[in-house]
Amino acid sequence: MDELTIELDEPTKEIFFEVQRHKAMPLLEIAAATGIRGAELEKAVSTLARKKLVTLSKPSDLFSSIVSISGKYF
Amino acid sequence: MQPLAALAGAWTILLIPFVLGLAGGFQTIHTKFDADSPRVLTTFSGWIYWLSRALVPTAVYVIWYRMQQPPQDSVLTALLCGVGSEAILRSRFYLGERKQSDGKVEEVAKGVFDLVHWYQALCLKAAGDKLATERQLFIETLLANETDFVLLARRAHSNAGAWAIEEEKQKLLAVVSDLQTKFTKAAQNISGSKLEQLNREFILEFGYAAMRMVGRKSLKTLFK
Repeated sequence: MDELTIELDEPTKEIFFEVQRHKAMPLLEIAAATGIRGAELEKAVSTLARKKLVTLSKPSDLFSSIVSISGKYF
Repeated sequence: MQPLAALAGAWTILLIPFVLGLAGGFQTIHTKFDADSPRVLTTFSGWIYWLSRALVPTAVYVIWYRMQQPPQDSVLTALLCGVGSEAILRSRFYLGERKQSDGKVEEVAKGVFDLVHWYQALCLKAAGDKLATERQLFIETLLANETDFVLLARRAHSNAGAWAIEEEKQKLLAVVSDLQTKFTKAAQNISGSKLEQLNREFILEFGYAAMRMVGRKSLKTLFK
C-alpha cells in the first residue's frame, strides 16, 4: 500500500485514507469530510479507481457514486 | 440456564468477559463509524462482528474453567479474560526493519492482530457498504426538494441557534460560513444548469457535513 500511495498526490492520499477508514462513502460525503471538492475531487477519485485502490458504484456518474475501498486494501 | 452449567459454575460470571468483549468491540466500531456506530448494529455483519468480539473472551474463560480439576469460578480470571484477550488479540511482535522505496524505515511486526484486523475489516467493510448506501438515501431524500444552497444555509444558520451545546453550535456555524464562502466563490461567472448542479453539490455536501456532526435525528431540526 505504501508503495502505491507514494505515487499519489496529497489530496488523493487524503481521500484514499478517508475511504479506507470508513470502508465506503458517497462521493459528496468525501467532499464534506476532506474539504476537497469539484474537479479536484473527481480527478482524485478517478485516479484511485484507475489504480484499483477504490471501486465506484456508478463510474459513469461520479456525482451520485458510492466510493468503496478495494478488497485488497480494506 | 442448565446447559450453561457445563461452561461455568455460575452462568452470571460469563457476563463479565462477555460484556468486556462487547465494550471492546463497540469501541472499535465507534472509532470507525462515529455517529453512525449504533447503525452498524442494524447490519448482519456488524452484529456478527460485535458478538464474536464478546464470544472470544467468554470462550477463553470457559476453556480455563474446564481445564481446572475440580472446575471453580473466579471473578478475577473472568476479568482478566475480558481485558487480557483484548490485549493478546491486539499484540504484535517485532520481527525487524524494512527500508521502503522512499528511504523511510518501516518496522515489520506480525501477530494475532493481523488476523483480527483482517476479520474486523471484512465484517466492517460489509457494514460500511450498507451504511454508505443508507446515508446517501437518507440525505438525498431529506434534501430532495432543496434547490437553493444559499437559502438552505440561511435556514440552518437560524436553526443552529436552537442548539443547546455551545461547542456544537459553533462548529455548525463554522461549517455553514465556510461552505457559504466557498459557494460564493465557485458560483461566480456560472449560470444555468452548471449553477443548478453546483447548488445541488453544495446542498448535499452540507447535508453530509452536518450529519457527521449532529447525527441523523437532529438533521431534520437543522434544515426545518
